[in-house]
Amino acid sequence: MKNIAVILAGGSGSRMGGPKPKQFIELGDGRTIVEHAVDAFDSHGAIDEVAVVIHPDWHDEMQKTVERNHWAKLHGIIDGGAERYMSSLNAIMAFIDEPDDTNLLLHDAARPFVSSEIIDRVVAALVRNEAVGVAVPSTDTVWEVHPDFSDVDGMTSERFEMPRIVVRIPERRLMWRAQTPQAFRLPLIRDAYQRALQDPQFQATDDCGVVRKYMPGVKITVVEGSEENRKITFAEDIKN
Amino acid sequence: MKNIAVILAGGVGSRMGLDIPKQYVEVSGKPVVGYCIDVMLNHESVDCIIIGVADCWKTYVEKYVSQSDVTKPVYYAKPGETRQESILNTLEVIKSIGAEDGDVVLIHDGARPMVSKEIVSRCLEATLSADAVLPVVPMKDTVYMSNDGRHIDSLIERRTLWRGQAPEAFRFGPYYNINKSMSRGELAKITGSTEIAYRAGMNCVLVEGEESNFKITTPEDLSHFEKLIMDESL
Repeated sequence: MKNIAVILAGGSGSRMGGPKPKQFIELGDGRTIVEHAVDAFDSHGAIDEVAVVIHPDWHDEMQKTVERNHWAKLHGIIDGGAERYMSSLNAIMAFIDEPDDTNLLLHDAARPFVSSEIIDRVVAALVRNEAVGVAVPSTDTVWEVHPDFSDVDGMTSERFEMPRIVVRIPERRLMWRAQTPQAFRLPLIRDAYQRALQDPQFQATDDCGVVRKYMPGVKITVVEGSEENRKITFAEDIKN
Repeated sequence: MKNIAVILAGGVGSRMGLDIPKQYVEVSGKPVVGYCIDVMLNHESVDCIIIGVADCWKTYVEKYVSQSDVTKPVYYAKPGETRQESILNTLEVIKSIGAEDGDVVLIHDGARPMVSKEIVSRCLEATLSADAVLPVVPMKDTVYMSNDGRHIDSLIERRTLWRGQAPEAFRFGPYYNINKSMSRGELAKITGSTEIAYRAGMNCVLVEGEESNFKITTPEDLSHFEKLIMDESL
């Protein structure tokens, strides 16, 4: 059973010569976000191979990063797509010839602080489960509104009058915030995406979402993540 | 009509060790809760303040308040065993000082020091047309629903989800009555203060919160806050 980690760093950077996308931002220790993410998997004993998916505009930058590092397990840079699910797809295609018992662990580069314990948990769960996600309990109260009122920019108190637009307040106990890596037996994630792409109504969620929707008979196991494994979205999230 | 700010700072931390509650950790010479107290003391629309504080910290907080140039009435309430119980205690104090049903109570967590003047204004303004106000920010993560905590049952579309934060504003009369009508056991189970207003049929509104208005719960949160304050002073 081979474990291949894929770091999804295909995110925005569509402007050539523009400011670097966040995966190339250096943290306090001088290492970039994407380097941290690769380190976590490259240094893990149960991971056999690592690949990075990067926006084509930033291929050269990533190439330089790879050359600067001595990652024993990183063999390739894969082109990313315009949307996250396209990056996942490209990764699946890149490994299409691998044996059926290969596992793909898909991880957001924007979660550079993933711990070895989380990877341990995912790898262990993969032994007997073909789909594994990572999540943490929800700590905030979450309000679900009607999709027509979901526009962030249009947010004023008038638009958000309730109860008309609140659909429900889901029970906190049942809600889990998704993290990554999201790991799957290769044939499973390949088949799930194949079906997804045939659906004219396909709406991307995350990889677990695609499996949940298009392979409904498959149980997706969830293991515990951590607050540290948060997604970096603003400069103020960078703590070192 | 009066606007009464409530700051919940009732935790005691561990009596055994060096653990003091996060809201009393001093950052740049000021306790975390002090940042909240200052915003409320200085906000022109806030008329008085109730601080929920444990007996062992009361003198410390009184001293902090007395150092301010601003003179606004400040009262104190004892904490309860749970957050909502603490809120009820502050509501009782508010009742005892003669608040009217139409007054507004603005409830804030002492462990959210980055609360801005603007978010306070936004919440208070919204009470002109609603009886309960919750500031919200978008949910950044995809959310899974799981009944057993081990398998994913379904996903919720992220763009329809909003996370509640503080301060929460309520019309005093109805909110007091709702809380009074609940048993201690029911109060203990409440996780969202605005949720009970919503379920009781109060006219509620969601307003724009601020990502920066985070709650300090872990040592990492505290370091993050320390860094923000140090950066600000540069």
